[in-house]
Amino acid sequence: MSGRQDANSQVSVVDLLVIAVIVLFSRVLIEQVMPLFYESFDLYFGDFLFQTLANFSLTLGAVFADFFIVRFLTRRFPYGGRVIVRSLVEVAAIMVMAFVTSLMVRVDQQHQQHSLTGLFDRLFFFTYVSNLVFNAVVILTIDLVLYYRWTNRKAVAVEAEKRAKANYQY
Amino acid sequence: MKRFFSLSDRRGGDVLKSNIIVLIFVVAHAVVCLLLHDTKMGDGIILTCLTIGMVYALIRFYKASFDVFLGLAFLSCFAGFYIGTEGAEMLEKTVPSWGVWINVIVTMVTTGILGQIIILLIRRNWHVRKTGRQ
Repeated sequence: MSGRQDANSQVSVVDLLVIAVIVLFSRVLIEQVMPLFYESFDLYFGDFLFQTLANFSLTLGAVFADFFIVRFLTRRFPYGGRVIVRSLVEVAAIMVMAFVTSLMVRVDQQHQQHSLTGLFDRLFFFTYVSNLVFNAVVILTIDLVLYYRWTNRKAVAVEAEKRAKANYQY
Repeated sequence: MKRFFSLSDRRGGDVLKSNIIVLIFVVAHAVVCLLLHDTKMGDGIILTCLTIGMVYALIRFYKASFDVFLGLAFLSCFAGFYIGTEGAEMLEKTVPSWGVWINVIVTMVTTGILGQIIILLIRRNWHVRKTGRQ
């Protein structure tokens, strides 16, 4: 089964390098930004993440939206196709979802302070980075789960086909 | 060498080989951490590259689809970063005199755990539902 998947999946060394560079870049970004969280606002990375998680309706909405994004991705870009295209669209989806979530967190905060000025400030950037990690973890975990469901279904279909063939020959 | 690191029909043999791959990366992580942790450059980037390399090597070994490469690489790197940083801080409170060896030990343990989790996830058909026998 796995051999067939590998043959169907179109992946080159350049594709893998691009994905590796994206992961490396995001890791370096987080590592460099983390100390700035504390220097600028005396807050840790977890405090910014907690801003999102404390808003239960927003968190639940973000998780549902992430789930539907992954469902859309699996239909539009099925597993076993161009890995690089799928991965880049997935990264773009994570970035957009992080932006939307951060925007909602900041609008909510500004609404509580009765002012809507300076929405895209330094605080927005830090909120965006923490939401980037949150949405990336949720989207990639859901994607892994759906991938294993897909391989499961495929393996069962292959087994059923083999059994039907054996029965026919018998 | 290439023949050694290829799948066989024996399940136990494959698990042993994949563990040898993880062990190689555990040692590489430890050496990089020992040599670069206290330098100006730091060990973060090289350790991340090694973690991505381990994910790639295990996916190649088990002939799994590269559709999971982004997810596994990202989650491994961030889990490694978080567990490594928190683990080192915890151990430093207990034995502060160990110095850089704290980071070496935590890096080795974290890489080993991540390697085992990746093996569990991409091992062939571990998750496939067994249908009824005829």
